[in-house]
Amino acid sequence: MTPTIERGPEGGFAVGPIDGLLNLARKHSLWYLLFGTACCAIELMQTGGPRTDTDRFGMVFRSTPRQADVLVLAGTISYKMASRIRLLYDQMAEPKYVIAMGSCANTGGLFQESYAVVKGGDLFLPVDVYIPGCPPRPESLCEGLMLIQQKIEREPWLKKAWGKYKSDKPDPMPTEGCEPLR
Amino acid sequence: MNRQETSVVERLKSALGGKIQDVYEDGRGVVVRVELSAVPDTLEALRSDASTPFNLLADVTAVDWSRWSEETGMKPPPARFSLYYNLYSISATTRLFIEAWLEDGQAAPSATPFYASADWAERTVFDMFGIRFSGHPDLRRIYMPDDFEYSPLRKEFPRRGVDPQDFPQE
Ligand code: SF4
Repeated sequence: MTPTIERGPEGGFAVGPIDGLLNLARKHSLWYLLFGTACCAIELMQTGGPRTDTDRFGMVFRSTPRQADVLVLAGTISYKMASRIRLLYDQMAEPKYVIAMGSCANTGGLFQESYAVVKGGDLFLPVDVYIPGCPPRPESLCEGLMLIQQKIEREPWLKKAWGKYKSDKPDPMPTEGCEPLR
Repeated sequence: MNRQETSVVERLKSALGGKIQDVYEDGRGVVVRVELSAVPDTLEALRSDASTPFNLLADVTAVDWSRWSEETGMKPPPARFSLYYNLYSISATTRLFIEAWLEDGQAAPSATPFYASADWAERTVFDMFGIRFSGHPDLRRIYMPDDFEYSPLRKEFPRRGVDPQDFPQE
């Protein structure tokens, strides 16, 4: 599905299925939500910094869920916060991905014995990538984001979206009975 | 007790009389133990004290004594819960604790008419111990979700918490 870049007499061009071209674009503009609930958020900020520099993969942070593609669960999630995180997730536009970053977001981690902590982000969100560590190093988070990129690469997104669109709505372009344009 | 604390306790004793049950000093500072019903009077007297006005209510907190035993080496508790009011006088740099005991199900008088900062502190005590405060303007849970049914800092609450699947998820 990966498009190939060809060199022509008048410059380069890419050849490939439309899904692959779309995925190529999507994969290199993976914007994550600038949101964290505990100490892992410090590593999340560090990941955006110049040393790891996720910007070179097109990953930049956005401050609003409407513009974000990835929700990074960075930190301990309390029961009261879980409903707010769910709200943020619901506000994000499809396609969207979730990374559970650190032991707390994976299982409750260090605070698993607490009465107030959710025992894992996957109890209320569909998690795509789990990153172990307490906190995971910026390199690990970067790898997690690159795993999302790999996932995007293999995804027939357009086909999926078209199928959903078609099943939801009547055919958008009825051809029978139409006068052909001259 | 330093001079300032002694004088403020003296004035409090003359103002409240027999409602003061005990005055003692421990690692925290000076603790004045009063009847539960005398808490508003005590707070009012301390807040409007002439030379050391206690203008800051730093905290309201409680202790559950239901698991007390001889081995703890402490005095047997007169009731299940003890309430503590942590008062501070910014101008006189003096701290004083008010202690009051109450049983389960008993409502404590709210300190919100005297100190606005008591609002959230009392909500915390209500959330964690299930102690109600009569006269509180907005007694809701503060840390836990509204549909949480337990009081987590009570001793009978399981240490690991209840099963996460038991929680209604919003
Ligand atoms: S996994 Fe560790 S670093 Fe991350 S939020 Fe939990 S305690 Fe903090």
